[in-house]
Amino acid sequence: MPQFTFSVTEQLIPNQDYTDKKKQLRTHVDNMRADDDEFYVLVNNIIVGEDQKGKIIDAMKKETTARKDHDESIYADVISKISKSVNSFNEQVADMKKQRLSITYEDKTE
Amino acid sequence: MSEDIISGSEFKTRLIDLGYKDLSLKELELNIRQIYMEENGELLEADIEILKSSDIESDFVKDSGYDGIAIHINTVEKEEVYVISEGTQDLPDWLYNIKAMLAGQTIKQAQATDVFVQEAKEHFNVDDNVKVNGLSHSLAHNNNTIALLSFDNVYSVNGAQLNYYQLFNTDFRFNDAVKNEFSFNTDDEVYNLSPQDLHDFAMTYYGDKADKIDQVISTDDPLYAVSVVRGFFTLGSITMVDTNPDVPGLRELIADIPDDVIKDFQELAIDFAVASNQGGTNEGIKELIGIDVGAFKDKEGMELAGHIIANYDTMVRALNEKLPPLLDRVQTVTANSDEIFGSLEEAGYITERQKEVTVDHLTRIEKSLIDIENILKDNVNLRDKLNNPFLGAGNEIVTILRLASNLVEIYMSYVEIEKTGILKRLESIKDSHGLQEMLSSMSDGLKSYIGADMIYTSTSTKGEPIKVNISAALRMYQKSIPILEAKSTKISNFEKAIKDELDESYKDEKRKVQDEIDQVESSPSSYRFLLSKHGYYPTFNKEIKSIRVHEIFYPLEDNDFDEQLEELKKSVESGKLYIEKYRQAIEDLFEEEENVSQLFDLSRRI
Amino acid sequence: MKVKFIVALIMTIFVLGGCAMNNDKESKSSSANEAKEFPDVAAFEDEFTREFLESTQPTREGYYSFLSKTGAYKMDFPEGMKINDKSYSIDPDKNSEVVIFSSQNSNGTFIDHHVEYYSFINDPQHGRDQIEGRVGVEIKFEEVPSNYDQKLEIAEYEYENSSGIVSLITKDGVDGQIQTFSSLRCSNDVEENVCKQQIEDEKAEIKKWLKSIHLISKESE
Repeated sequence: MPQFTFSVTEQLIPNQDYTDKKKQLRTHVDNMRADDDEFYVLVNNIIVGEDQKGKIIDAMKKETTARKDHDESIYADVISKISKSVNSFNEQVADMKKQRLSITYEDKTE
Repeated sequence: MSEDIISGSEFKTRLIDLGYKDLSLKELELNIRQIYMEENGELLEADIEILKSSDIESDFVKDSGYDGIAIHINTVEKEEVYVISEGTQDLPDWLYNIKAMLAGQTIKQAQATDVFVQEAKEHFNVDDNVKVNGLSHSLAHNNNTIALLSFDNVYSVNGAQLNYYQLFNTDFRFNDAVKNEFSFNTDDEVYNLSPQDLHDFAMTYYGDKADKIDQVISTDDPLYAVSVVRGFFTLGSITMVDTNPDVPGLRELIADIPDDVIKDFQELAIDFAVASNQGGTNEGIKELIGIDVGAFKDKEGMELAGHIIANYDTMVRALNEKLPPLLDRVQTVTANSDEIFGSLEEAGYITERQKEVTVDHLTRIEKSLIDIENILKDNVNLRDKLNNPFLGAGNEIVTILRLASNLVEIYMSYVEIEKTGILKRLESIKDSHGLQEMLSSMSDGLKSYIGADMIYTSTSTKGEPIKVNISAALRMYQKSIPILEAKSTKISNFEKAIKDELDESYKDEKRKVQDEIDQVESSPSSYRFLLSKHGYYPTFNKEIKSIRVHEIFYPLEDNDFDEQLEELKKSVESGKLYIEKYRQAIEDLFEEEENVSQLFDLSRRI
Repeated sequence: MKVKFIVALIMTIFVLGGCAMNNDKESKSSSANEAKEFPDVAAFEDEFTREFLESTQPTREGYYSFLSKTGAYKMDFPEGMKINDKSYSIDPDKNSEVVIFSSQNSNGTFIDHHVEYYSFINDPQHGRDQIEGRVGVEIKFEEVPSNYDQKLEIAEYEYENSSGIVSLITKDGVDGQIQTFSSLRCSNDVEENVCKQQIEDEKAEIKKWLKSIHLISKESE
């Protein structure tokens, strides 16, 4: 009996959404931020009153602000990287689930 | 005698303040060491043991309401016990206690203080030669001085003073001495004696006790103001401090207000204060007039009438009960409101506008109350008709609406009074009883206090002096390293999470696909549906013989966080640098104070 | 909420101001009509004291049954005495109660009794220490048999012009304790010898009376 072979691309496993991983990973960032907040609470109490001026005070205030801003930009970068990675992960896994198959069958009627 | 381990009013006051904070034993110990270091510029080289009254097995604590902390400090050369007794914080409790104390009645908490001190000594295993120092604020001073047999000395801030009626009933030697002195025979006659004579006698009698008592009192403390009232005497070495120089203190004001006015004000106050403390303005007003005005103040017309009719029975019942005594008291107060609020204004506690609005609206409240009373009088039968659901007659509806509008007026008047900010304005009175205002007024050269924190003022730079919270700076210096370390751990966790959530997860997915491939290749016949799916009809005559998967797996991409992780780790490192810079900046501000640098060093050794 | 507290506080000032006067103004308006229904003794004449008395039937000669407002104890109440409502105290949670009562018509000896109940003091040693502290002289407690299943310890002390008997009442399995303080003195016109004898007699009577005080166990309520 003759055998025939054909090739197709087949989805082997149903697709799944992994967007949730963003939240998982962001939690870690939130945890780091919480530590920063605790840190800045300690710092912010040191200079009494908002309106104190002076060379040293100004320098420290500037330093603190710069540091905060820098940390914030790192976090923003991390968050966007998380987003990109998870999106990409989603696509890559979806791609992996599709594979090329060669199917060989026998035709009994012939 | 050598000096106590803990000396200085500032130290003691800060210690009492610690008692109010809800700290664990470990935190308490660290705080004590910290304060010691800040105050003395050196570490406390001693073992510290702490016992909280709430941790004691005996039921007396929770039942008596006593709240205290015993601290056993043992340097090799010296051993001492400090007992911090807290004043009652809860307001209703306060009112009860003050009333009871005024009547010379309660010694419950003093008893409890004794028991706690005894238990603490047993717990610390110290004998009677070890000095026990009492530290107290507010009502606790009263307890501690009565319980003086437990203490070698007592230091108090804004304490509730001793009351000689109270002592007459608790200290039997004093009781006997009073009877001998004034030639009477039974306890109840004590109330017939001249308060002044009794006061003077008590002062002399307890003269030796006075040596053991040190008190710091704010002239603005409301509790000090009331010790002008019969029964109290102030014992010990007293330091008066004007903690709020903007106002003269309340003591004189109280003397100006007639007694009967005070009494009426007091009753209004207790009802209102207790209720509103528990449930807000609405509850406060509800307690006074018996009606929940908040429930209908925004309703109008028929809706309002409907609400009133539905609740009319309860309302009238409540008004019948509450109104007559309320009106009496309000009338006394309004009749004297110029005097009460006038003296508060004169003394600078409130503004003229606040006085005017308050007096005006109190008069309106009075008017509304009178109107309500008239309505109730004119409609004695109204209540009987209530049980009849068909109220019918229009004039009754009118009456009901008049009643409601009066109630709303009262509510609105109260809101107006509140809006002037008079209540906020009076906050300074409360603050003057607290420890922090007292601490703020204790300054010594460059050293002062805000809250319970130590402040240094730098004058080394040009321009305005600069205030730095040294306690906060030391806390920052001390705690920031552990915080940064915690952040490091979190960065590692994040790194691991990336591996788990991306790399490992990708491997898992790959494994699943591989498994499926194995499945497909090993039992191709199970995948007959692929024939029809891809159009190989008819399928009944076909049989799948084999399936071969030409699998291709790519490595995971976009999973590289190295750059971000590097940045995060760098931030931790720069944090350590930042802390040192901050330390340096503060040291620069206080160049002449060598000990600032030393304090920073010591703070990490606690 | 904070604001309310402040209002409360300033008002507290007035509260404080008012309290002492409050006491002055309270009058004991014992109505003559009511009094007629009661035994003709000082204890029943006084409206406040009457609130504690359970029955107009004497428990024994000269005493009526007294139930404390905490419900923690009962005792015989001497008919010739009156509770002073100014010095009476009970806390809102009924964890403590102090009753002070004094002789009204004296035959020459004056007695004040303080009966104090504390639900939160259990240790008898604490009780003894506190009593000794309050009396201010060294005392020695002796256990005497009580009429009830409880422990009664009594001690005596002498001051220059007066004498006293104190006691501690505790009961196994029952929380709290009762501390009593009784002080006795003669009026000035009594001769010293007579006074001594009178005090001795009264002391004997008080010791007998102390046996009537008994803690009520919760189970039996």
